[in-house]
Amino acid sequence: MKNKFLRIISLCLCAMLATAAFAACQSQSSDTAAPAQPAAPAADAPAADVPQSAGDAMTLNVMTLWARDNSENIPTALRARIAQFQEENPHVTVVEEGIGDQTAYYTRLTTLAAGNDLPDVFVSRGSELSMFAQAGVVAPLDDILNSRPAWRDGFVDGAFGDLTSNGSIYAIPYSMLSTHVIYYNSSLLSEAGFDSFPQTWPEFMDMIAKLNANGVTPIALGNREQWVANSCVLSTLGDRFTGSDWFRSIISGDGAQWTDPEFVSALAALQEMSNAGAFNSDMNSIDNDQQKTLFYNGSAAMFMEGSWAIGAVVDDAPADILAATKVAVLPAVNGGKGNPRSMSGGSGSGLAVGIGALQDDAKMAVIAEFLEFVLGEGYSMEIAAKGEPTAFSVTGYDKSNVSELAALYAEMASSLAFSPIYDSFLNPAVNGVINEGLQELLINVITPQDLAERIQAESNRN
Amino acid sequence: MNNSSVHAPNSYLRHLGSSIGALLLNIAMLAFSITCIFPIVWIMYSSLKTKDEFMLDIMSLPGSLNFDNYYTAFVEGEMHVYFANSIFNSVVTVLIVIFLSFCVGYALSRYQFRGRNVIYTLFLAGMMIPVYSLLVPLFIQFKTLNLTDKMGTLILPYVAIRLPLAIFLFESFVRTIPRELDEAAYIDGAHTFFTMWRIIFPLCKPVTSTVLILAFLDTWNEFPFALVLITQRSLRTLPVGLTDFYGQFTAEYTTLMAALVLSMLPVMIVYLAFRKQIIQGMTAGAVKG
Repeated sequence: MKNKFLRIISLCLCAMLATAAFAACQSQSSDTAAPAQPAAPAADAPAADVPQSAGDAMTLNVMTLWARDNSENIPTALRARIAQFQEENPHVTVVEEGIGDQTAYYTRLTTLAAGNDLPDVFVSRGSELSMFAQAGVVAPLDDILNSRPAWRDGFVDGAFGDLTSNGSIYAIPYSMLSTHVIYYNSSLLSEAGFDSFPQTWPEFMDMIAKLNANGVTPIALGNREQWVANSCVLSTLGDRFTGSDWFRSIISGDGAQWTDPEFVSALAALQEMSNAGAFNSDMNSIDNDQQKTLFYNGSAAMFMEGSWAIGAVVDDAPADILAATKVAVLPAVNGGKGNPRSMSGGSGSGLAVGIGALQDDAKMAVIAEFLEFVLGEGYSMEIAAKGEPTAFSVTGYDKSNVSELAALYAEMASSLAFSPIYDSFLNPAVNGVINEGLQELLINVITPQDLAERIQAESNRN
Repeated sequence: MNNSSVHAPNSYLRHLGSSIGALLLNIAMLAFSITCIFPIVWIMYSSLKTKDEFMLDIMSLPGSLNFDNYYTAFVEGEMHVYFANSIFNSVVTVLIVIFLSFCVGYALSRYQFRGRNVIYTLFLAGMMIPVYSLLVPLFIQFKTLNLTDKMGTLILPYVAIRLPLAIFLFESFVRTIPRELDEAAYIDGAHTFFTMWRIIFPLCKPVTSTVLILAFLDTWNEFPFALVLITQRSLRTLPVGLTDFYGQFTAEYTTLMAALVLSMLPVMIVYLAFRKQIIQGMTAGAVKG
């Protein structure tokens, strides 16, 4: 009898759960059925006309890598453009979902990709895009770009480099960033006897010795998260020794080896810097925010980070430090094959389009319109006026609000070429080996030659 | 007499030795607890600093108390929405888990029927599945069933994942309660439902608090499912909402600290309220199971 009673209870519970699940299905099915109707064939119509063929409401799902009240220049400007697009196209509802944390964002993105449910438009970096392209879950954007030649040709050289996979472009860049900028405190440098940033390697090493003698940490390095030494230091230092052709050859797999003497010398130079006391001793236990803290409180003379740090320095550094801050890049090295007037950089990330949108011509037309509107000249003027490096070249923007540091950077960047950012091209496994290896190299537990061999071994395996 | 005079210094020394040992042990334990407690204290006072103060020196005490960070986090950062969602998910999950796991645990420990061991093993096997391996299949399932992005979306996986451990704890605890109690109740005319809820359940208080704390903690902190199954901002839970305080390259540390303090509070309150029972429940269940 007791058994029967329990059976009834469990049956009831199962029934309740089942009805709840069904009820949820029912309420949803009504609004997902909507976009089924095929809209007017807009594929070959001039894109500018598309929004006029209004009437059928449309939702555009956009996923971004920025927290909602992120005040960095790029998200702010991009969101303003999205809002304006929304206003001018009332039949389109743009729904934005922003996730601030990079790791979380890419976890979500790869899960959505696995379910072939990527949003209409989303932010993605190049390494993920080539994976998505292989799986066929992102739409190639060549047609959109080729039907808008003026817009396509406005992008600076190499803007699509990181976002191309197998000859197709998969995303439109929203900025051009450098991952290597040396921010230096000019008053600490002149105390050490350097009124301008050294232009040769021996002078640079001499400066490190003199700064140390003055009791100042020459370079604040926060490499706990491992990407700083790779992305912000080695990408440029390596290029000074090897030249960019060597790295391209590594990527395409025709000839170059990690164990080539040029690259080993680059690793040796990094270790030599570390042995000469160029970095703070706790470099592997602090992060890139904390390396800036050392610079802000005047205990370090330099730090190396990407161009994105300009905003942080302008906002957070005490006035006297900010006034003394200038920018530079690593000097030429003896016998280096690389262009000494270059820094590692590129577009890195861009806006990509989920493959689902391809099935709906009307939607694709709206997306094309959206991308050009959001990432076109207007947007680039806006971020250029804030001192951000742009992927779409613009001139004649308002320079009055550009901070002094951003202007210094823009002036320097205009005379420099971009070299590849290592970690945006390499596959994650090789990157992992480099990242870990650099931590060991910096504290002298591995020799440059051994590290190069370890990287080559991992590279062979892939 | 001779004997005792030899003995006395010995015992004195032994006493001294053991008290020195105890002192050293205490110092070691004290140092250990400080390493656990300090981060919490640090978060608390850092949340009262201004951003500049924090960036210049991450260890120093705040110059003056300022509660702006809390306002920014709770009102401007819309933490109250995430807070409400987390509370909703956690409370509903905990209630369902306690109800279901007590029913199942009671049935499994009191009745012998065909398939009992299979059911029990199946539940226990659930404990061994790593959550991350469920992420993609579950997402695809929910998408096909149109269950994503609803008020109750997260309850289903949460309950399912918390159940195995809870059932294991209840089952082994109920088994330690003498069956004679059920029989006595039966003789006095109590039906099964009455015996279960009015006689056995109150005796399960220690294990109920264990299940409550564990399920609450896990649900409150759960991240991957909340990230993947929920799209709408208005349905987000705290752990996902906290990522709002991260930039792509920088973090608003002081606001983040304030948000963290707010998100830690409920957990600390629940833990402090039930802390006495938690260990009792764990051991009472586990040892005799």
